[in-house]
Amino acid sequence: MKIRIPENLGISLRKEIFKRGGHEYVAFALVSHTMAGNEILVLVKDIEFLAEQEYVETLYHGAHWRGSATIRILNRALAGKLGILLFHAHEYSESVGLSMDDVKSARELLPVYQNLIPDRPHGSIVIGHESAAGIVLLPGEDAISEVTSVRWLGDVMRDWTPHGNRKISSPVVPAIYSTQALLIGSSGQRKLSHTKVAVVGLSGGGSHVVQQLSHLGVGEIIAIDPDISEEDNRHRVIGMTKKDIREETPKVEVMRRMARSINDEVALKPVGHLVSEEFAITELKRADVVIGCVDSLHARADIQALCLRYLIPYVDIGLLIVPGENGSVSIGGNIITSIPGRACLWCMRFLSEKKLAEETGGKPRSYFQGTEKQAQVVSFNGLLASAAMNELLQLVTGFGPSSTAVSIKKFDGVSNTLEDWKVEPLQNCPICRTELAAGDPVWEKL
Amino acid sequence: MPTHGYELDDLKEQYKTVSVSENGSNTYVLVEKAGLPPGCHPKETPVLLVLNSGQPRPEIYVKPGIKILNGQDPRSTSIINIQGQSWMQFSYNLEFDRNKHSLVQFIAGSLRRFSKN
Repeated sequence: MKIRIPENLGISLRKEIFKRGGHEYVAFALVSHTMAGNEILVLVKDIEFLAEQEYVETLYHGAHWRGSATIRILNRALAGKLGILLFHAHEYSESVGLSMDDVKSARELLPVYQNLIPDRPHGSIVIGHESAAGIVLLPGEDAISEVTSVRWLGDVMRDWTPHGNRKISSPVVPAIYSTQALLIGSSGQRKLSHTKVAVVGLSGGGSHVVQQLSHLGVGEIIAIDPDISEEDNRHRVIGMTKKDIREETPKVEVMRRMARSINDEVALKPVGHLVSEEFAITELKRADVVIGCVDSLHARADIQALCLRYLIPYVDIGLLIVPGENGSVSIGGNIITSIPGRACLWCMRFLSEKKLAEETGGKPRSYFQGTEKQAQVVSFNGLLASAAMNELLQLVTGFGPSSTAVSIKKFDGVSNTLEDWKVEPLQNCPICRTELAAGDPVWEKL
Repeated sequence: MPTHGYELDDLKEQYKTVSVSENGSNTYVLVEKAGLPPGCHPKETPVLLVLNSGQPRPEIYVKPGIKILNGQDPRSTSIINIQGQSWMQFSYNLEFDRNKHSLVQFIAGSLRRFSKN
């Protein structure tokens, strides 16, 4: 059972519960959830803090608060059909666990929450020094489940477990990664080997991404594309052969073959479906990071909505080559990393209702048959894919300096430059407001 | 839960299993089984309505995978994700006045579109 926390909420949550004062501080996370593979993900949608006057002074250790505060928080949870996780801190604990008192009060409190909001998980979590532990009562269950990790989203994803960052017993890096680990360290390599990356779209950009993920040694690639090999793909799809064209090999199978030939320790799950189809959604939810290599804004909107809903960082790449008259040409590309709780493609104005309407010519989406053929050149696809892989490396291993800035990486293929463009994100983005950590919907029978 | 001026009781009477959820300014209505025109496969489909006061009529979606009378996929459809689930948007031609027509009429009229390509 894992917990994911968007960046903005994670920052304020840690600030509150690590506050010093005459008593312990607590925070109430309002949560949704989903099933990802065989794992429950608990997704923090909002946080409620207590005002100083809502705490009650006692002679006992810990935090005590007024009943009226509990009612206020329960009402908010009920209104949003959300579960409640109670957070507090044991600041100096490298290995952390709930105390016997914590467990006792959780065992009393959680069934009360469950009785009022039965369709969502409720729990009690303790945060230590880069460690986290807790118990959760899942919908429809009487027994409590242990929390295995808390993921703080940011430009680097940080997973805090009950044992914190204590050194693991076998930090030996396999020979294949020995020089790579000189940059990302043995812990970075270990993190990569446990990371599941979904790649949506397996043409020029996506095939380069799969190739590099295989070399990097990620744990699993979830390769999503419904298309078969066609002759006009062969100039840019890495790994595609003449035989694949003759045999109309699905692109996902081309990728599986390529990944296996590079690194048989990397699993590749072929998903020959559109990203909006049920099977693809189910697989995408298992991903730690999604790399989007699609050619339409509508597909991007679908991926972005899913990534926000399930709190998955999304790296999008896109290329537009426009040959002009008299030999002029414009070659532009973007690499955009959307970190849930920081900014999405809508916040960054890369997506808008107007742009989506323009893409379909103002008609409903049901009439939209995809974008027209555009110029594509493998070298430019590869450059954007490589930049996206650097974003992934930062997200997983944190090899570079951390940054909280919102920016888009702009590629100009004519001047062959890649620039970081700072973006002032949209305040109160309507898509983040509704989709962020929404999880699976709770249906109420009429 | 806001119903945006729509009457939901007759939906329950007609379709028996109807559920609702809410997100932002939208109310989502899930009809577990609504009949498709004769010759369609399957004969019934789940239907999702999205209600919003700002829209002149509800949005309607069905589950992907419907084959029409000639065994083919219906034209002018698109598979999209709504609330993390896969739904099929489809073209239809229906006059709808929310002051005159019910949601039961809206669903029946929209699904009639699957009687042809």
